[in-house]
Amino acid sequence: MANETKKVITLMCERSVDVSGVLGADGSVSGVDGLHVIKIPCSGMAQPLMIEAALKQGASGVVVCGCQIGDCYYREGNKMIRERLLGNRPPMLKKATDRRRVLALWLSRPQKDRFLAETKEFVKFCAELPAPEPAAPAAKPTPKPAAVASAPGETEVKKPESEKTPAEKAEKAITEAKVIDAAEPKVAGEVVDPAKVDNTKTVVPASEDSNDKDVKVVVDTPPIPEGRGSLDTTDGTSSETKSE
Amino acid sequence: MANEAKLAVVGVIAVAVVGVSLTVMPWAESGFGFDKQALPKWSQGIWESGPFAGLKPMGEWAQKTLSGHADKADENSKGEINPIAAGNYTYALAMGAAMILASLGIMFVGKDDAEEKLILPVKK
Amino acid sequence: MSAYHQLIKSGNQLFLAFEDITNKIMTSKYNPLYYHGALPQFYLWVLYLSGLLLFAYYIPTVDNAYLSKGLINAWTSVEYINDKIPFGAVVRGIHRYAGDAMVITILLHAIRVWFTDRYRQYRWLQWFSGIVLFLMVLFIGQTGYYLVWDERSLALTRMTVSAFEGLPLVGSFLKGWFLNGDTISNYTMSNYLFIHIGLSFSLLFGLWIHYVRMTRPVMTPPPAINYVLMALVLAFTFIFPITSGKMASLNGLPPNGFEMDWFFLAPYALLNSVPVGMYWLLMVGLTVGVCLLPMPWAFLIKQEPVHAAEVVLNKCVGCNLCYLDCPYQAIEMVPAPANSRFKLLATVMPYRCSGCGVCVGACAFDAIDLPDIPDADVQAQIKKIMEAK
Repeated sequence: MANETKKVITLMCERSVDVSGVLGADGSVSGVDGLHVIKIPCSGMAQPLMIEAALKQGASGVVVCGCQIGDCYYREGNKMIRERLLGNRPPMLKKATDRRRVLALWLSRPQKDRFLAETKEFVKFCAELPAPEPAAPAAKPTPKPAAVASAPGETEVKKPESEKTPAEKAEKAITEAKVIDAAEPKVAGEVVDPAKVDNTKTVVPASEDSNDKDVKVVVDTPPIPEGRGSLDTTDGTSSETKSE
Repeated sequence: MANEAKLAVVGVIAVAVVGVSLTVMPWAESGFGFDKQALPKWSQGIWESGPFAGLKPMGEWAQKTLSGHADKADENSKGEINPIAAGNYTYALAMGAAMILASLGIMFVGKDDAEEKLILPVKK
Repeated sequence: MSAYHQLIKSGNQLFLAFEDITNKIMTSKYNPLYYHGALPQFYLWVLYLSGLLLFAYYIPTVDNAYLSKGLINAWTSVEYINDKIPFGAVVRGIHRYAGDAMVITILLHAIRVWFTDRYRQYRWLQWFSGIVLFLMVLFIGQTGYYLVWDERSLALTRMTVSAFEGLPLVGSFLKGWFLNGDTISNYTMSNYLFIHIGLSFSLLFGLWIHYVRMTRPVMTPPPAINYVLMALVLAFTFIFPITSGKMASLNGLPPNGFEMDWFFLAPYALLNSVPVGMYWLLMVGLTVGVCLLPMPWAFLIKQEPVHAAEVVLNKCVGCNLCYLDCPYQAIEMVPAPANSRFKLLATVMPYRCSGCGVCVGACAFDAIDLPDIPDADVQAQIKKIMEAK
């Protein structure tokens, strides 16, 4: 299981980076350990649901790789998924999705080296992220409000910096983790939250990601890794529970 | 780049574009030759003084090649040179130069927004 | 792999390599090749504006000597614009060079979509209308050359008339339409002006067809690129000022030869070197041939049929998201059947669908799917990878 959490899944547009030289039959990429590529016709086909599902099943990160912005073969696919990831176009990622574990790359066909370098860095970054999927849910709920208080200002400043070096990124991740830990004891209000988070996790299938439900449940929660616990069942049942 | 630095660059470029238009255009109007009378009053003193006086040979060269070029073309059609049309052509060139400058400035400032990599903001 | 395939492939690689360089220099945001379709559109606006300014002083007559002391006709009015109107010469230069630039950018646009394989199947209408638009632009440009009414205009007029006369059946009618009568007269010039301006505006109708199957067509390059495009035109206006030749004289000797402009007058070079019948055969053949380029049966391109997206009827909630996001207007929202809980139902027009899957990404309900790569497949692949050791 520990080994599995190191996996990073790439949803890759067929027409973006040409990885045919390094791609294994099972989707693994030689040169980058733990990176797995799933090819789709256009990055615009990637659903936020797919990203969430991958994270839920224990992927340590998800990369979406499309063509250069402005050069989509199908005109707008990469812009669409870009806006969805940024939360400007529905359907969006669930608020509870750990956004640090999602990376999007917009690269043209010859940019294989750039792709390998970026993904290598990202795989490493994800591996070093604190609180990966399993075992965490029971302990975690309490820190949320504190993180809300501290996160917005800090993270917004940090984000652009973190684009620069992997070291800085890792550092940021660690400080964030500390903030969360330090803020453990908190007010009573948030006891409601964990319960509801559990609800979404266990009852609502991923495929019925209704946005208003998300909004109602986790109004102010900071990004927490979600979907721990009964990992295997959640996804297996998703299609049946839909009818509910 | 930080926003303040960007703003500063935008300011510098804006001043440069306006400056180029204001200085090159009267210069162009006078046929690039530093003909003092042809220049607007406010700029006459500038071209007399110090370092600018040294530009005179350059101006004469420009007059011969740039303005003379337009004159020659104008002469072809009717056998006479129309200085107004020649001046207009040089205006056009000056405007073109200002536009290139402006676009370089915009590209320099806006380049940061182009992306090959998207890291999602943690909190929306 | 056929030679044709090889050509397309190497052309594609050429563009990829070139775009890689331009991306490094000016980033994808300002890469003019990512706005290749918008470049001619920008020049079209420039042409409209500068043409409007020229129109203010242009007089479409061959000979208007009786109306005033001096001779006033098309040629003298153009000279008047050139010499007496402030910036008249510059506006004239802009109008000419923006036209040339439009032809260049249209060719760039066409070659890029051809080499990057973006002209076939669900895009055939854009290719067809693009060819028609290009022919219209060429013809409009040629009428612009008639309007100046110098010796070249006269030579072009005579060549055009002889080309029309060479056509069987419709020849004499076309000649009459073109000259607006039997001979070159003042009415001829007003007809030229009407063709030049009227056809220019009917370009907008053609552009509507060109754009109609595309959602959110990219019609405007970013301002930084616009400035460069404009500056290029201005630089050419300065470096090669536009001049007229001698005034056309209907009574004098016919001009022998004229200065060539390869952007618009290339067909006349052809007309000059082959018999009239051959000329029409080549022109029509070339046009039809280029039009047929995207047709699989014409050039024997093996192409995968597009597997159009399919709506899962009992899952669709009629939320409009796929309809809004589809880049080819291939999805239509129709009233849902009476027994449905929802008001609308998405339907796919298969002949417009590119099979790109953007609608799959847009659907939060798994209600639309590509038949060849359903999203369940992707989910299954994710699961497989995660479960593998």
